[in-house]
Amino acid sequence: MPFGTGIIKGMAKVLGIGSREPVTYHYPENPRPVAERFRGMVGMRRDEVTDLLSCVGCGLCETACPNEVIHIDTSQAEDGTRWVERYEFDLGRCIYCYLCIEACPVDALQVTHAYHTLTPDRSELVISSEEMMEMWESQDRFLFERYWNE
Amino acid sequence: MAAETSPKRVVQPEISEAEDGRMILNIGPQHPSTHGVLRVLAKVAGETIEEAECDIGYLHRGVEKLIETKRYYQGMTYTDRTDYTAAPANNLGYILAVEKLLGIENEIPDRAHYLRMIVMELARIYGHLIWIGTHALDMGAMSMFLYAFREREKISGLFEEGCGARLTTNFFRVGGVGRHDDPPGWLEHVQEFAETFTVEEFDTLLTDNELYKSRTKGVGIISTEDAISIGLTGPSLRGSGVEWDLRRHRPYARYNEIDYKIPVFTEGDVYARYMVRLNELYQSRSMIAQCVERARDLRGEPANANLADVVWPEIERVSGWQPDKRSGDMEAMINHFKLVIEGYKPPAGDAYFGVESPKGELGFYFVSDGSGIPYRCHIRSPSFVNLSSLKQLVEGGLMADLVACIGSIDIVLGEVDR
Repeated sequence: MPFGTGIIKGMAKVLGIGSREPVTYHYPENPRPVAERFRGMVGMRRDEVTDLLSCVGCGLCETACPNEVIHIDTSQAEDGTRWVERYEFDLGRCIYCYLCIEACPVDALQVTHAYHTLTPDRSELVISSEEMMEMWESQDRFLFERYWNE
Repeated sequence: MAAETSPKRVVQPEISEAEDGRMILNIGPQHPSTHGVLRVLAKVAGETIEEAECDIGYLHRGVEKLIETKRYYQGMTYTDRTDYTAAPANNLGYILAVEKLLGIENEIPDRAHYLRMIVMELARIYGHLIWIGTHALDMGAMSMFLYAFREREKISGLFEEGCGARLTTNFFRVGGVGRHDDPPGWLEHVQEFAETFTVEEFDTLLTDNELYKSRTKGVGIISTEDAISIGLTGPSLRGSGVEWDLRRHRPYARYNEIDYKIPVFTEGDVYARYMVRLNELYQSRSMIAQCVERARDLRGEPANANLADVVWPEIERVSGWQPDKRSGDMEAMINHFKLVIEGYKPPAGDAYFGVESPKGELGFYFVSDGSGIPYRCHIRSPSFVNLSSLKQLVEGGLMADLVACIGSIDIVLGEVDR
């Protein structure tokens, strides 16, 4: 084979590829659609009856998390009633492995497709159960929308 | 009293002071062609490298030690982050080692094995594509990088569809594939990928390209004996004429039930290693097609072993919130709590399992003291061992060939330093 044949073959191939449809997406104007199973931020299911968080405070998610993302405080009244005082989720530490969702025995933690976590302040990434419920209700939401609008 | 002077910290590697006409050149750790944070100290005479030493450890995160502080099911999340160019391969190595430790390797259903093999071979293509792209880019072939990433993006999409994540997949579970059983249409999409994946394109662009050939042929030669004595594995070893592939010679999953060839080239140079990887892309493509067929035949069969003390129960059995089913199975719930809080407890003992990752033999070694947390975990990472051949590859060669040699052994610094 004379010198240069391989190069010419390659160049012909490249020219052929140039005529193809583009495969890129123009983010953020047209973000790529995500798969059904996409692991976005962890959301919280709102209980249909009480309209509050459906977490029962068993702490399994806290135990299963490999990265100490979740912090739960529970309280008990004198009559034995228990409730979740505080549910904190540190998105900045989350590695999106979803072990918490697999561990949750009451399906309180839910899959969402939200993945925009832009913020200039890291402390804002510690979100409460209320924000997690809003996240679950509007899946494609931007978490800190105000920064995107700016 | 004066504080004792601490001994001078010896920064390895030590290369003696330069003599006349010699220069010590420091390549990396922040250099794009070292494929991560690798530092190479080279003593050069003009364009020739006389002596070279690698300095590693810039990406050390203590993954092994971290795994020793977590339950077995949690430890797997860290394996995604060692060789991040082919995360499912690490997941599989980890899972198979834990299964061996638990003594349940014969209980895994066929369907789980085939799903694992599909993902594993996708991961091999995934890993080789990033290699072929960046290595060609190092050699000055810009367009390869773009085409390799275009194809790689499709596999990212398949991973996302299968398990939800594109890079840090955390795909499998001990006992099967957990909740990542194939979603509707996934196998069809994998099949479609296997049919349309254009290895021929890469073949046309590089294999006969005279410029590429002149940069790689006869460069960075390592003999069969040296390759074996260093402990090279994977494509780098097969490029030196040794037919050694764990899929064939120490079979796991169902690799002994499908047809494939092991590409072996004898030259031992950069070009031979390229040819091995290129041919592996062809082989993996055909293996995926075969596995998809088998997995389709097994549709409807379970993808997880029926082991209540290891496999997390189905969420429907535990959770009781669905409107049509207000109460879950209490036994399953108790079992689930035990599994999450205590984890599964392998009997005291140790186990090693090696899989053929895209880079070579990836092994996980566990010592169990009978608790839910591994007593010791060691990762035999192929990149680390393969990197030790670099000294031999580059010494006596030209400075420009250093980049070709680093690229050709396909290292990922996340795996070297762990």
